[in-house]
Amino acid sequence: MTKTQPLIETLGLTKHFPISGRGLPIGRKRIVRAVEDVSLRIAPGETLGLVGESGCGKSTFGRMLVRLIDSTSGSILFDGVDLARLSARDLRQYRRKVQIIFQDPFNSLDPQKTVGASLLEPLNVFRLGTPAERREKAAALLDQVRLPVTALNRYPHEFSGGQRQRICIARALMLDPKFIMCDEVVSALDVSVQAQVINQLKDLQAALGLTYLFVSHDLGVVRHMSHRVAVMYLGRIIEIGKKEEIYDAPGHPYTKALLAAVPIADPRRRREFTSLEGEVPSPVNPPSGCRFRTRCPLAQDICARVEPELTAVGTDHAVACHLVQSDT
Amino acid sequence: MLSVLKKLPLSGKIGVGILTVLLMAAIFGPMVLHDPYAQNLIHSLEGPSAEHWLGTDQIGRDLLSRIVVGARYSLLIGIGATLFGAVIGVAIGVFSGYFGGWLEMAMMRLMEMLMVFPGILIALMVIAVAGDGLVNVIVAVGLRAVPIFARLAQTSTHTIREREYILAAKAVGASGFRILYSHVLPALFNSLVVLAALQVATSILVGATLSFLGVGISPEMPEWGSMLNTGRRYIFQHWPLVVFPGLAIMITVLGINLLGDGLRAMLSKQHGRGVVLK
Repeated sequence: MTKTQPLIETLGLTKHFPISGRGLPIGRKRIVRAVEDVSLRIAPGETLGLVGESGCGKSTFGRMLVRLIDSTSGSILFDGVDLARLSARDLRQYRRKVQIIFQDPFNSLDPQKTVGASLLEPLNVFRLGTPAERREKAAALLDQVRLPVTALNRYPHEFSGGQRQRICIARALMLDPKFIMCDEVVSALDVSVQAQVINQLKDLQAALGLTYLFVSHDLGVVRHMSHRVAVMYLGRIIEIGKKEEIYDAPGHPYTKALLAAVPIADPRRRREFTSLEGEVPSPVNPPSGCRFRTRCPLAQDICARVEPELTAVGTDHAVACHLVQSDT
Repeated sequence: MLSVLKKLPLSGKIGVGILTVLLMAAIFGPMVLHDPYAQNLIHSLEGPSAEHWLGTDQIGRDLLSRIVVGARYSLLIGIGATLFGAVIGVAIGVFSGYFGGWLEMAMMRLMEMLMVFPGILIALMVIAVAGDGLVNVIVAVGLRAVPIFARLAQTSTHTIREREYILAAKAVGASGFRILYSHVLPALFNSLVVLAALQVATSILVGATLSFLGVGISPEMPEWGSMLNTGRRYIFQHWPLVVFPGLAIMITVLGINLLGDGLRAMLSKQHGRGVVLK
């Protein structure tokens, strides 16, 4: 792993959602195991891409990091402080350091408020600076995301999706955070606009030394954006490593299948895998042993009995698969 | 204010016109008209004349000035009761809708219990317990509107709290109260205004019904409902005693309903800005 002190480190982070049926609490409680025992590190200034199919728990994991969702167990160390056990007051201070950008830029700005009001809200909450200083900061950030200062007095509906997402980026930067969780930030945008927003995020990272968790189901975007990549399946990290390793030498059969599903503009290239068979199993009742075994073309007896651990297969590359481990 | 008026559809403009005339009459009318309490038994039960435009009642009081002064009571009850119901109902609805949990469960069941009873029964109960008087009537009539506002506020808050901009506000450290007043309430505003306008009309009707039944404000006072009740006894001898107070109620309620419908039509056209709820 990276030698530097990580900015964020999770240890056995787990989230279980109880399914509360409407009515009397009779019978066995059912639980959605959204995120199960996730331990990973994100170094300062780095982008960790988190990929997986929809519903695999990647957004839940990201929202736990910014404490929009409380974790069930495990800890989140931010600069060595465990966030999972912070008091409400300390948590508020932490909120200045971590921010989130959402998927849908049409839904994440209050339609009743001017862009200026939305940008100023974080500073108003923390009572930072004088009103004039706050406006100045908002104007400066708008400029940084290449929007005119006149946008301050306009309403979100006057802007396009890409412009709105840049407004959201500016809002996330208002408190000078160190870490930003990007939750599918480009999947609601047109392809032509995606590149613009992603490059914006990369530029800002270079300029401000930001650390990103980049959650997406789009492997191409993640490749462009990330330094390291983690692959999630049914709430567990099944492979993590340097971007080059993951994309050029994937270890886990699931990662291979995901990569094979990315269309490549080369008719002569044959696919190693055909597309994945079957549905993702329910996180209420995940398969025993390896969670991927029900869809894995290489599954063997041991896969149903023993849950594979993440094991290093190279420098900064770990895979949770029995078959890969037996190779090395 | 003027720009709102311009955007209103015709029906809404008519409503505003009716209400403006009514308000003007209620405010300035008593200054120029006869004393609504002055009796003159010699001129009792007279028809419309140059001196008494709508005639006189059974003890010779000027009917027009009584109706004009009655407008004050009706509007006071209508607006007061609606404000009472809106403030309490919206507070209950927004809190329970946003924070959810057992609080929401308990509050909403309580609201449903209130809704089960017809408004007039609730009002009668309150007056039976608290006694009569203008303030008690306002509370009694307003209580009926509480669950109506609470329900609208709760269901709308439910949809709004799932929006990502609420999450974004949480992520920048905004407290629950801050989110409620700076994000949830403004989003509710449009639909609340429409509901409130229509509730003023209903409250006036319930208020008039109460005094028609002889409860509520003192029968001495020129309230339209109690004027109807008195006039009822003379219905075959002197029709103006029931027709004019009845018309007054009808025109007022019509004016408010026209305004309410106009507002609804106008606000639902304003796309882009604001959440417009049915």
